[in-house]
Amino acid sequence: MKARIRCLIAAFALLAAVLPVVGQVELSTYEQLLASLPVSDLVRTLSALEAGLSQPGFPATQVESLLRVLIATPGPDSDKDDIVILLVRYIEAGYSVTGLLSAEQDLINAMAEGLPVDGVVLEALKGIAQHRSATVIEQAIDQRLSLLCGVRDLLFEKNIFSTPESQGSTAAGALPESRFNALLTNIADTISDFLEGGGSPFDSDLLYEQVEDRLTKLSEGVSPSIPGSDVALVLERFGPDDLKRVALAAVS
Amino acid sequence: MMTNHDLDDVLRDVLRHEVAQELPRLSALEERVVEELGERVPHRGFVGHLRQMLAPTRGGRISQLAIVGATAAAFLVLGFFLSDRSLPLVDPSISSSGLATTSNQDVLFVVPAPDADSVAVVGDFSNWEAVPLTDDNEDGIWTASIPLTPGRYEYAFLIDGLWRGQDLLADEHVENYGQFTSVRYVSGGDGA
Repeated sequence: MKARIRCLIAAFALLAAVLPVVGQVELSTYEQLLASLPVSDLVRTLSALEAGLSQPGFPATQVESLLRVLIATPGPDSDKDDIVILLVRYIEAGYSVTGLLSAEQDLINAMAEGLPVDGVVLEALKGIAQHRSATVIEQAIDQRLSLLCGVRDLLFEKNIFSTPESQGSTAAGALPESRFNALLTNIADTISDFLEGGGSPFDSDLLYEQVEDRLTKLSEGVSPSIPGSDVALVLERFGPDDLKRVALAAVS
Repeated sequence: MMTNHDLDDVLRDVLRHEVAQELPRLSALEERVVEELGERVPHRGFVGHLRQMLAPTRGGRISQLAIVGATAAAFLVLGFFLSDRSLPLVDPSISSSGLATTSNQDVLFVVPAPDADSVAVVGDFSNWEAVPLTDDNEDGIWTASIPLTPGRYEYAFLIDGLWRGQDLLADEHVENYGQFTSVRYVSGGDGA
């Protein structure tokens, strides 16, 4: 009987010694993964991840999984870099990465759908610069992604869609991808700014004016991706009620 | 006994005498007062005036509004003098196609902060990381010139680490996370 108990204790001791090793992720693992990603600042990224590994509760294996998913997901290099930058800045600023993982996965999914996520990441980085709480930043990511989806669907509904860059504009409403994405990002950003600034979705005329104002300013020699003809197309096909519908969906 | 009429005469004579005695001292009094006041006013220079305008004052809403107004005026004057130092917003050169070119322009960020130890600008052009401003001549005006391609840029100043999102030189302001952020639209050059 005593021998059995000794064996049991020895087995537990062995498990206790082995388990942390099994769950541990080495920095070299991250280094190998990052070699497959278009990371703009590898040294800084590794340094942040190393700092993360030394923190108690750092979700090392989940971060590893996230990087693997990011590698496997098709998308623009700049967007992938942005997603890694957000992770790095979270660690550097001392936020809990656990909550961010879900938002990062949402960003990767959106990127896989062809949505331009760079503006969403920038908004999150702005939140970090303002020392907002992680929860508030993750909510902002969620709302901005929701608006991107809503505005993209609205553009499709109005027969405005993107074509491969090389194909150019083949028909009215068929825009090269960069021009389509520029419209999408700026309309979604304007709605988001409007809502965050205390605007009501029901004040749709004012919201429409703000979208018109921003797109017009951008088309007047500011953004190469937004010519006046694209702005005219949007303003002709969109109405205040369309924007209200998208804004309401984002806040509900 | 002296009558009231006699007393009036005496007083009139005394006053006439007094005025006659003081007349030389009264001559050119206004000019001398103005001259003396001029000597007593310290010469603060531009920074001194800015300090005075930005200094906290007692009083209610009216004096606060006066400070805001004075600061706005200072920025307008500042903007006027700096307009030939490559402020991009007044650059009218846009390509004939109506589309902006993508050449970099040095965009000047300027903020008066006479009492600050450190000033930086954060914006989407730097992934919201601080870019330091400098005040080499220690006149309280902090500046940084940042090359930017045409586009719409959001930014804020960090004055001693505190967020200042309402730059008076901005084209517009937006409110995110409960704080204001400044926005500039940088137009394209001629592509040269």
